[in-house]
Amino acid sequence: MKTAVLIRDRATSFFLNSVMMVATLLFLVPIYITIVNAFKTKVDILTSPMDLPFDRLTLNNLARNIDSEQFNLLIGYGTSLVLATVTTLLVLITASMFSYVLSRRRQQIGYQYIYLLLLLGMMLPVQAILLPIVKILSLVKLMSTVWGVLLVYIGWYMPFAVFTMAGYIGTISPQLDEAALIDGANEWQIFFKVILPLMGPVIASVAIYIIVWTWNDFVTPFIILGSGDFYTVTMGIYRAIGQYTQRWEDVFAILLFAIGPMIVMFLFMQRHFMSGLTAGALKG
Amino acid sequence: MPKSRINQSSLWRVLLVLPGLAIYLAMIIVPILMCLYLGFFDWNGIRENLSFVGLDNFWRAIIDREFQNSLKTTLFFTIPGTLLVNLLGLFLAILINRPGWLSKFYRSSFFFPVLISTVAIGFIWKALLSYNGMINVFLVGWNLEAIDFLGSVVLAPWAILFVNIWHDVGFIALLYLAGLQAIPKDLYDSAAIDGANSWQQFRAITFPWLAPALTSSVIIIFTAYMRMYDIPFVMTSGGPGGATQTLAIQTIRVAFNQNQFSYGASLAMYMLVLIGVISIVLTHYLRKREDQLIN
Amino acid sequence: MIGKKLIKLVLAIVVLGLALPMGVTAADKQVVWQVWVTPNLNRAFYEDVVKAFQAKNPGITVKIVEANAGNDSTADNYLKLHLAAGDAPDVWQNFDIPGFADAGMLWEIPANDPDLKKVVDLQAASYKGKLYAFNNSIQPQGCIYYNKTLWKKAGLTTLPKSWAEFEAACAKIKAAGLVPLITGGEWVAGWDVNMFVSVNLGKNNPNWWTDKYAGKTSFAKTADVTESLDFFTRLVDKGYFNKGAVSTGYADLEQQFLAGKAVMYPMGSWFTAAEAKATKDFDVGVFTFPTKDGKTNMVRTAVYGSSPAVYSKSKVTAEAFKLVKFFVMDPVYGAKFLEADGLYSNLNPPLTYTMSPLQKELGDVVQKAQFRSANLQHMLGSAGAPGIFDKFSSIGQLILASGSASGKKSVDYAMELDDFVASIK
Repeated sequence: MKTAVLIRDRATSFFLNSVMMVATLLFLVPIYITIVNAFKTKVDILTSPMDLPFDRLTLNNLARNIDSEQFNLLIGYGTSLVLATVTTLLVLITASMFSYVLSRRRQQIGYQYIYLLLLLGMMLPVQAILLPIVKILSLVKLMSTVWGVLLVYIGWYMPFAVFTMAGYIGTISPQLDEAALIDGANEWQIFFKVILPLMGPVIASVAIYIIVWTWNDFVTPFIILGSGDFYTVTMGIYRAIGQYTQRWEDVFAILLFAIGPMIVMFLFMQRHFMSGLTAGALKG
Repeated sequence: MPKSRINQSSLWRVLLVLPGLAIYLAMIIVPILMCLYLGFFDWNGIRENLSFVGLDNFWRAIIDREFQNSLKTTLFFTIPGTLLVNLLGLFLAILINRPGWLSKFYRSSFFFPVLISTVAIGFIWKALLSYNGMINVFLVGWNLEAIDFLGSVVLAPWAILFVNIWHDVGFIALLYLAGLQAIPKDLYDSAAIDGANSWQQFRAITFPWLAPALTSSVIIIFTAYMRMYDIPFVMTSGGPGGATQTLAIQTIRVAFNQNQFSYGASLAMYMLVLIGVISIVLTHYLRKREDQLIN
Repeated sequence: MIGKKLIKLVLAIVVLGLALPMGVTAADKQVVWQVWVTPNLNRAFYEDVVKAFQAKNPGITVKIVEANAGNDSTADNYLKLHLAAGDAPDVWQNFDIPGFADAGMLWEIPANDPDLKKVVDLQAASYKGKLYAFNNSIQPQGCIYYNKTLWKKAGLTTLPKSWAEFEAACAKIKAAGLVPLITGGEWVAGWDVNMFVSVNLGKNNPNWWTDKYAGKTSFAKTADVTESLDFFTRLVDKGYFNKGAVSTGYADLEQQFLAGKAVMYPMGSWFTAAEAKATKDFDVGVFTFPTKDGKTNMVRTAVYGSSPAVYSKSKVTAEAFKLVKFFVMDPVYGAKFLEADGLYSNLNPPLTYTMSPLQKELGDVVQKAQFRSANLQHMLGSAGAPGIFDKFSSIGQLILASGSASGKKSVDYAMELDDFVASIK
């Protein structure tokens, strides 16, 4: 009886492992194809898409596409980097302050209305507000500028950041607040000196989300930066690849440039990514 | 407390809240209101004077065949999508919930696509699935008929659904994994002693304990898929013939390409209400279920 | 400590980011020119024009902003966005004139300008009696190019004029194991619909839109519409189009034809510019889209002016108009523009450039055509309904994807078009 169970367990195990292998291939093969074919000549790509012919690899595709008419790598990376870091910084600052008050005062009617208002923003499709946003940005002369996109992002990520951080602050005992209050501190000081230092994990969590989302975002910078002088990586690949589905040697090279940074970041910071992202979602 | 103390307190609170709230109101709430306002007029995006048309735009959406079609398409992506992503995510989470480097490797490979921009994903899969794409190169090489995944009115929606699921399942799997790892082990031990098999253990222990993870996962995917834009836009531009046109794509197209910003605004309002109402109902129901199950 | 270093790095990036230039520094007279960038008309081309213009006009500088054909089919979206933003360019190119003209956004060009005497039939481009742009060029659109080598290989000796002749030719080509027609998805499918219908409708009722707006006719009631869609569907059903047409993009399409993958390629005259530069091992010929009765009609773009137009609220309208005239009438650069896009001059005396054999042949075809009509998208009597081209594309994609197997009949498509026009009033 024990052997039977053992064999059945082994069989199940083998079966499950095979399923996992196939699933893993499904997830990794498209990436593999992109990376590998970026280094092959067009002929090689067409004749044997899956192969990695070490003797015929070329850097030509990459070199040719570093600065094409539609997509200059430096501008793309630069713009995306600035957007991602500055957005994250500003969101963290404004949202943390906001969420502190919201969390501590959640019984008050006024703040409950604000809570509902934030909820509204989480369900909105960004397309719905794009043209009014353009009008608003143009009134303050920020259309087609990086600052304009930043403002939109800060507003856009506010609900997510506030909810996540407010949830976390809820687990910090209010007695700390009271103790500081008795010592004569005002709310501003309580937040910056007592609460904020304790918010490390959730800040890291939110930061990771916002960096990844901003780096990968397409529609908002596409509409606001438009055909201006600056463009993000996502805009760049859309313009560069556009309608070409068959210029493989260029398409894959451009895609490799686009996903390269994420691959590198992922390889080095796997654990942080995965724990940060899931911790945040569950608490929220 | 002395009055001055209370006033000072309120002042600090306002200071803390103001920056975030102000930007949020200016960039999100005000535009929504503007959008709603414009839905009652007939603005075409260029003219400077508008005329009030009342509920015309909203009524027109209801009888508009293209809107009905976009709604159908969006629901096709959302409902099966949410179900499949959650089922597959849970399945994968269970499979990799064991120690060892192999599980870690699996975990990383599922999660990888989540980090890549949907635009890049769209182009990668377009390169694979298009009529002259990599997959068809293989099929033809093996003397099979090439399949037009993206050019067929029947296959294209499934292709788009597949790519979206491929992108998101890793994230959901990790959410469920975190939920699984939070379940106390001794519950399983006592169940095993009582003679329960794996399936019964799953039903009695695992599934109820995953309620919070389920709530989060379902809401996240639901709201995301109702707003789906990038992948169908990049892969098929909503085609062929509108077979993969989601509400989000139609809204932008109507507002920008067809000179009918007011009609687009009314479509956007429908989206907002639809997503809002269903989200609220869904959250309420799932949270209630959570409470029941945890107790 | 890593923490402090990280903060310093982040602050540096923030400072750098905020220092990004946020505006344009004004020069003396600056004209902002929104150019239309396509594979034929690239950025470098426009920059050459600007250099030459600035050399001849000291005191005026030109700033180029790009609307890209990769993103849209016209510059309309770009212009709308920038109008909303308050920074609309001075010179506008490749956009839908009626909508913007109705909104008062366009500057009326002085019809008595001496340079404009050169334009043949100047008033033909007027919209509601006013002139916002002029026709410096003619763009034949209803062209079907064919691979002369493969044509012979299929055993064909004459060029088809009627539907019957065309179908017979396609059958022969298919029997020879070749692909008769190559086309694509997205806007190319809409293009096909537009041409198949316009080639008949344009010559039979050049005032169709006027009648339609007056309620005298409709898409569903017009035989030229339903029968042309039937014809298109028939061609699809018989398998005369390339497989996977719907998911082929415009750029790939051109490449495939030039690589000899199909015998016939319906496209506008700008293809001749690409053909002239391409290396291939066969000659290309051209004829007009087939009509039901065999009478030849060269469908051409007849819009309210092919030249760029000037923004009504521009602060430099005089300088902007100078740039417009230079761009399309200068003997050297005006001709380069024609050459880059395969256009034919509508000036008297005409601007000439060295034409390729194909371009000469096309010029001939245009001259010899029994009719030269406008097309359904833009203007048949009155301006076409805005946004209708998207509907053509949707219909074209459905027809290409499933033919008659979609279950929809041509009259169904026609009714959808009528519904669309009714809904936008």
